[in-house]
Amino acid sequence: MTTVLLVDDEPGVLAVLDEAMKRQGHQTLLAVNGADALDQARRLKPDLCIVDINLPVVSGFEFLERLRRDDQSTPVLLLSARDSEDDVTKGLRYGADDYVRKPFGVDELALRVAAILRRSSPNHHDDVVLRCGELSLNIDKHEVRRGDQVLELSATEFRLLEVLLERIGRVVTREQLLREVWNIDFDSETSVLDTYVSYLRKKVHDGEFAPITTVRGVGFKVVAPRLLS
Amino acid sequence: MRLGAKLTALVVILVVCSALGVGLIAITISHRIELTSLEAPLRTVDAVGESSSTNALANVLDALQAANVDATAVVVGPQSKATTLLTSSPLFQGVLTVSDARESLRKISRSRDVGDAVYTSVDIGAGQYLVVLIGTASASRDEHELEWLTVVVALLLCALCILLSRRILRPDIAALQELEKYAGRVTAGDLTADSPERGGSGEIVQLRSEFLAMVAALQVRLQREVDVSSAMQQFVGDASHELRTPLTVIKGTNDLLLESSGLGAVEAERLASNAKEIDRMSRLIDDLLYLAKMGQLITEPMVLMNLSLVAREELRRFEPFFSQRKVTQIIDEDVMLQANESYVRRIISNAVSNIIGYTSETDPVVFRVTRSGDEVILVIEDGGPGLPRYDETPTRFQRFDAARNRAHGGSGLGLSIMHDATRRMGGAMTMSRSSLGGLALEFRFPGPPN
Repeated sequence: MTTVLLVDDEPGVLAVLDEAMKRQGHQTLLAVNGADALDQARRLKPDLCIVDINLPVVSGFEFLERLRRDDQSTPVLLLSARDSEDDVTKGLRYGADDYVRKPFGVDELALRVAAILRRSSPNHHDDVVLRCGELSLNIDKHEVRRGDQVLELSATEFRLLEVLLERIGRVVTREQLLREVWNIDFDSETSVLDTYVSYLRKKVHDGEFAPITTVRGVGFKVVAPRLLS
Repeated sequence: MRLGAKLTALVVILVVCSALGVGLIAITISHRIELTSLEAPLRTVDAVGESSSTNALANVLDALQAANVDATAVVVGPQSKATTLLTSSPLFQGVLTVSDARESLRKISRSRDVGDAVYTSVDIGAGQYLVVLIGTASASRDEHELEWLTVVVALLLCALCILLSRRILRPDIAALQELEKYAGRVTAGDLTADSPERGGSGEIVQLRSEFLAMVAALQVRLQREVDVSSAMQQFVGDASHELRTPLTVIKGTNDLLLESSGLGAVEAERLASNAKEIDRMSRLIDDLLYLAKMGQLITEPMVLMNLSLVAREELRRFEPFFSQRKVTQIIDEDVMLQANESYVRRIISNAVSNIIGYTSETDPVVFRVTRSGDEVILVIEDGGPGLPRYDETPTRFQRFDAARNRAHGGSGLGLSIMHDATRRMGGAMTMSRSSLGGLALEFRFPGPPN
């Protein structure tokens, strides 16, 4: 089981982070200031730290800078409510592994945490493969297979399938898909999404095997085969 | 013309005029006095000739002899040739006629016909006249010499004045030049430049101290503006944190609830609707803070950018949404613009997002990037429904179609952001009805300096 150190001076935010991480099956450590966080990080050696930049006394940057003096490996994900580009650059320069802007989606945070943990795990050289029954998507090789058959997907179709498979079993809203696949941050009644989903179904679905389902008015969901039956 | 040259020219003119004027008047007066002294013996001649007309000739000659006057005496008559009785040195060279003699009877005369002399005549009977002449050639020569001398003295005085005026004006000119250099540095934005050295006349000292006071006042004002700007920056940062923190809690809690198992359909629908509103709120905060951040900057960080490339890049992002539209791109090659690149990207993506959000998927779109004279023009037009009216300046939260706007999740600040960003880069945005039927947005920016 992985341990995640959560640092934020806002109890509400800390509670959300705590629950989100526990739901992902992680153990949590909580801190409301940078000094305490630094102490816990050094003593308890968490697998990941999620730290707000705007902390009283010892800021998130300072925490990071001091942690990195004797610990280069523990991954750190920074949270910030400011949208200054400088914050992002500064954070990454101090050795942060990723950066998430507030307000963040719990889903997005979970995915980023999973990605960081994948990269920092001892066997991270193995390819990351997302699966749904006989369908597999190899992120590193950029390859999609149904059983032994390699499927030819365009870059957009690949990304769309990746986003859906990452959240297997859960609904992915239209807005989320537009944001993550097309980098468009607004609602749109566009049919682009439906068009691409239909392309993807044509290539991925095969007879009884039809995991990409529509959740009317909300979005799409990939359903694992055992639930289909 | 420089001030020093002007003052020197003025001094030279004054000196030359006064030297020549005074010199020439003095010469004229001294010439008159000399002539008067030459005429004195002639008056004696007239007096002697009048007192004894019978023996006039002998009396006049005696008087001249007695007074030892250097004169010429000539007898002229109607028939007879002129007879010279006395000659002066230098020799009198002129020609005398009897009419000259008659005209100068007991009267001192000068005539060009007669020559360089003053003369008078005395009637000696038998229609004959004794004419006595005194030469004036030497007096005239003296006059010419004096005139030349005056001119030479004037020129010498002139040179002296130039040297003196240079010497006297030098500190003032130097002080003014210093002040000029200092003003140049201040204009270039260096308000902390070393102040110019002291020196110069009272007015210049006064001018410098007034100027320095003005720069100091400017500095105070600018500092105040910087303070306000940094306070505003702090405020925007704090507001950003304060607004986004509770939103993070709400969004996080909503997401967690939405993903809980055993959720009823109604609850799920309500939570999903909440999620949409939270996203809208988040966008609204983003846009408001963006506007506030734009307003707090004193100057924009502008760089020279290639608008053609940036426009193509931004449009490529949206390409999937244009698959069913007729999209016309008239983008000139390498149209350069002095601008804030993030503003330009924001303007284009806002405009395109609006087109995607508010027009039908088959409505045509036209993009134009051109250079016209000194201006760079960006036009984005669509064949959508357009706006009910085309105001000059979009107001904050202006909603042309409230229902649709809510569905789109827009903040109502998009047009304001485009307008403000354009203005902050020295450009102007206009909205009008496009020939395609929808909205035509035109952005005009000053072209980059050559």
